[in-house]
Amino acid sequence: MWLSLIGIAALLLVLVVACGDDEEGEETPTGTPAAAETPTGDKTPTVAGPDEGITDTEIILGAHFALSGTMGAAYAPVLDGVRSYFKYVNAEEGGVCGREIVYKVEDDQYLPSGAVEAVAKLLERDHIFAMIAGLGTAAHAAVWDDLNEKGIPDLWIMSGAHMWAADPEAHPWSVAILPDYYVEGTIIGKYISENYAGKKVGFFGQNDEFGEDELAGLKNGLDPEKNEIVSEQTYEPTDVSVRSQVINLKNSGAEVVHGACIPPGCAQLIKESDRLGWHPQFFIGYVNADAMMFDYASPELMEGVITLQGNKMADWTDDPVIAEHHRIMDEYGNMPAGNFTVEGQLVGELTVEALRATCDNLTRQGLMDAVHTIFDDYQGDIGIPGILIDLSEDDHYGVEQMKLLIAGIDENGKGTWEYFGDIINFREQ
Amino acid sequence: MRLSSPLLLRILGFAFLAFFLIYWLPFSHALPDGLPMRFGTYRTIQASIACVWVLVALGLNILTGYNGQISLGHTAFVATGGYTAAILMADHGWPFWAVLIPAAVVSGALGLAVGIPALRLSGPYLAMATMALALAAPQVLKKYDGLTHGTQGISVRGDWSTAPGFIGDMVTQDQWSYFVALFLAVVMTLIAWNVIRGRVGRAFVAIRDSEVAAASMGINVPRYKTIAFAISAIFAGIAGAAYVQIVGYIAPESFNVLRSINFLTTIVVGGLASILGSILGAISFKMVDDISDFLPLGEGPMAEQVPWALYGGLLIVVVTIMPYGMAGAIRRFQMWLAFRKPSERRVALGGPALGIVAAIAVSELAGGSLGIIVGLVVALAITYSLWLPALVRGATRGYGRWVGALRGSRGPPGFVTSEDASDERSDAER
Repeated sequence: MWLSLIGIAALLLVLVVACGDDEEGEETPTGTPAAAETPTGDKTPTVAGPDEGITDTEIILGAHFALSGTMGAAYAPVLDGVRSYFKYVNAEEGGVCGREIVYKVEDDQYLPSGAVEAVAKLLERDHIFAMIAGLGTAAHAAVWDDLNEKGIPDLWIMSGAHMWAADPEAHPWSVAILPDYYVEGTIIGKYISENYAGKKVGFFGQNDEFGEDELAGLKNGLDPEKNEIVSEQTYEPTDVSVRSQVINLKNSGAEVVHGACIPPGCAQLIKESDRLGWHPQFFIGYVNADAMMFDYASPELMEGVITLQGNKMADWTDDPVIAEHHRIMDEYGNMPAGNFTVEGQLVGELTVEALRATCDNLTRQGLMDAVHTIFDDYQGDIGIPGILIDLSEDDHYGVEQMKLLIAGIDENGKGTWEYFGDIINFREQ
Repeated sequence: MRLSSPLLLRILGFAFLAFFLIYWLPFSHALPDGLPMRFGTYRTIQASIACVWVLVALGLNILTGYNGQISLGHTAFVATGGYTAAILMADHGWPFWAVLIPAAVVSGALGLAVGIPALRLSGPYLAMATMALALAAPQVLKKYDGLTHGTQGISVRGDWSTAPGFIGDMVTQDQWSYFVALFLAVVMTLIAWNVIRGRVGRAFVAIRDSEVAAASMGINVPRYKTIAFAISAIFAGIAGAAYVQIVGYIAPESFNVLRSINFLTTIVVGGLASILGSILGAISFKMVDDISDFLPLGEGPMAEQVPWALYGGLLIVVVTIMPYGMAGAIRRFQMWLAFRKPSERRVALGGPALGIVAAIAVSELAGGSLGIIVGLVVALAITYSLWLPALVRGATRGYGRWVGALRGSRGPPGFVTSEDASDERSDAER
């Protein structure tokens, strides 16, 4: 008897607590059974008003991001870069359109269900105006249809999957920023066929869409008469050791290896090869183009590794833009400046730029129109000269040029990334 | 028949619960913005997902709590059910109601297939074997990408999720998803209850307590152990289908191994071998998932790390002071109450009630989560001052049990043994 009563009481207590800020007593004026039969609410799925997220003093932006779990640590600097830049704009430039930028971030634990909840919360509780830099392929795939149906600008998606910008008509509100992994694979494949003709190629990729896209691109880029892929190995981001994959690569006789991996995985690949006394030419994806790679693997091991990037390097402290970035991160950020925080600032700058162009017509459609018009071969100050961002109604790919980057050692024995070669246009691939 | 006041209370309690779940929670966001009782879409989605975890916890509790077989591989069953549902809905255009049976059948078949080799394993060995299942599931899903769409995942959107006919005019899609999940949770709770109370359930418990004794009483031990796996997998399969229906998307990464381990902690925290425990555990698990909602942590690294540290601390505290989980604590409280004077009983029950009222009052006056926290502290203070002696006894015994477990003389807390039963008896005698 008591058991069930107390059970109910406990259940209610739990649920009452669950309603957080919006607390209310047992008596609800509208809580009559009659009201239950004829709910007064609008039946259409909560369509957000055109100006939601814009108040007289604030512009509210939001993101779902992996703040906890294994992926949280790896890309947290990107988020910190975006956040710090917004704080800087609020503090030193008086915000945008006379309003302060508020950036709400919800943890999705890198899970699709987490992203669905995060977006529901951002739309309903925080009334965000636009989604900025939602991270993760699987997580974002679970929410982008919803964002497009509701007409929420979904800018600068933090994933290089091919699908985001593949069909702007079906998803007019989603805009990618990171270069396509498939195209990156193609570029590296072409480069290998031009410069390492006749050598056997090995592939080491993350066992997900990232690795698959890169492998497909690599196959597309390689000239089958000059190079063949002798081994395709995959790994999980959670793997403790990749030794068996590396042994397979070594035994296959590969002389050039392309790694579609994230920094911890790529570092394991390079270190494990060294332990086996095997030193092929390594290529790694642009997601690794950060000085942190030299902490994961020593500069001596990294020397000669090739990747791609389009931004100024975080260690170019002589460059005024980078010097300013270091100051912003010191003053407003939680993390030290690096190439990932620079990427974060790029996203922040593009957002602010687009919002400034929208001041007269601060609506969601207005923001999308601005994104489509102002980024016409746009040269930002974060990208190296020649890296242009070009967006229009039927082109939702963000950064589409990159330059090759090779790891070296400076006179102090520290690792550095050096640009070489010409700017490569992803659009032409 | 005259209505006794406890019966009346019980009816009122259920009526309020039903009112809360069916009207207050899903519909109040249709009310204008200023009203304080708004729950909204976000809470509705959370509640829907809590229903999914309730389904998983019920199934896992039948296997682990009642039958004594540990599974760390339940995400594999949930994923199987979810993928079956998603493939049939997205690629073959089946309606949601029609995919429930296939989802349950396919997942149940996998449960049977796992249950047979599991007969040879027990305890930690079984835990390891099932954990391998959870680890393998994403790889298998990625491998057969012709069927499962590989790493891309399956997006399930469209008409399948809208409510039929006139109901569709009254509820939004999120509300409908919630009602479907709630309906499944209620129906499956009743089914679980039935299974447990029936012959099959008795056989499960007998096997858990002593396989030799059960066999000597004529119970076909291998058969019932396999059945327990299959039933458990069926619950997980239906949970998977409900998950797809709510989230609208499923990918190999949707369920990681950590989630599998969380399922097990859910039922341990809620209470092993208890249906109420499965429900309470799943709801609190969902809340711990969103713990940062309730804490004013701001942003930055602190906000990102603190919830996990708290989660870990909470687990230790719960396991130590509530050796039988939340359901066990309720049972103990009920037993303790039975030996109190009526006046004390009123205070003990009034304490939490006063606390809730205080929480509401303070949050209305001060606003925000601060009020909730203050109110809860008041509630806990009033209640715990009354419970303190019993609590201390429970805690010290909980500690003693850990020491005993280390020495090897007793099982760890949470696992009911015959010794515990005599403990409970001597408690009552005292």
